[in-house]
Amino acid sequence: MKEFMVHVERAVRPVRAESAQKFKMRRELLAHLTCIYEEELARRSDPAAARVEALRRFGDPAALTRELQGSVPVLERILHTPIPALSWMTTIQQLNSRRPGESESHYAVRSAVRQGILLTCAAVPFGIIRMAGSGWALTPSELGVMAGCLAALAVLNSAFLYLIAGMARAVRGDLRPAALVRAAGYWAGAVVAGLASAPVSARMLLGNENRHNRLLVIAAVLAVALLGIAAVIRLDAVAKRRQSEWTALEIGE
Amino acid sequence: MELIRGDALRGHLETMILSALERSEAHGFEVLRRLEAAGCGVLHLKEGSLYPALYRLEAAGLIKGKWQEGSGERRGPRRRVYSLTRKGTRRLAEGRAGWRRFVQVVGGILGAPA
Repeated sequence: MKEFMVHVERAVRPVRAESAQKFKMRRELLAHLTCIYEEELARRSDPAAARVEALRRFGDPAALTRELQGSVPVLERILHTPIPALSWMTTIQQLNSRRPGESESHYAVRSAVRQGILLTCAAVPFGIIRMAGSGWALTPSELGVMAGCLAALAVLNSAFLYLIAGMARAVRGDLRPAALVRAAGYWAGAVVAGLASAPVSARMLLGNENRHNRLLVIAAVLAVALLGIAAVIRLDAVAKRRQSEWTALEIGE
Repeated sequence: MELIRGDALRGHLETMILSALERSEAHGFEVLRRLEAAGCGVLHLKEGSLYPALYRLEAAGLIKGKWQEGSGERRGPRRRVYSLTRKGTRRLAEGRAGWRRFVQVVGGILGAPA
């Protein structure tokens, strides 16, 4: 079976298409190749000769790749074309990856803090817009409050992202009761952290004028959005796990 | 008799697949068997090359596929069963009419009417 999987993977892996479509190709081509093999085996009663004949009848993987690529819609093909200039994405991923010997908890905290600070930096331009909007006439104490809000936001955002990462870890694995409880705990914590950052952001960006608290609405939206994120992460993990037996194959590229 | 290989079928394979599915739904392996049986052993396809044509037909809405439920009779990976859509039936009729016209015209030019 593995030899057939490698043969199919040689044809499918280079195809630029959605991973779900490639998964369909893999399963279907493997089913076909298996059928040919069974037919040849019934005819010859020699497994080795049946395997060789099945692969011959199936065709050259490189030629099949070209034909499969031709069956993928143009837009899908373009969207999955590798762009060399985007290799910086890999660099960012490497910067963000776990260092050798680093514990999982340390890595989780480190990446959450880094991303939390980055997220907080995105609020800075809005603070500057607020200062410009006031004619650069904010009092030093108000500037101090804004700086304090930024610092608080960095902490809250880091906590928020740490909790989301924890929730993601919990839903990616086997969904045993303990994992579900852990995921629910992280989810609730993330809702609280997100909720706590809302008045701080509002204070920094709108000043004391903000008197309309809509915390309940924000909490509801946040809770639903985080559930959606958890569902997407779960589906992605399941899809990746299903495909891993294919993507891990050595095909001699 | 000389074999008819895949390259010679370019442009016709998809209509032939529609025709093979006209009788009843079938998975790729069965479609190929039907084509070979209808081709009286002269038709010779690299079997993998059937699937790109099936995917094109499915993307165009001419056939629809669904994964076969496990029956217990057969081991191995699940197969995808394809059936003709209404649009596919119409396209098959157009394909047949086009083919008759083509054979009539080219046959007349070559001095070998069908």
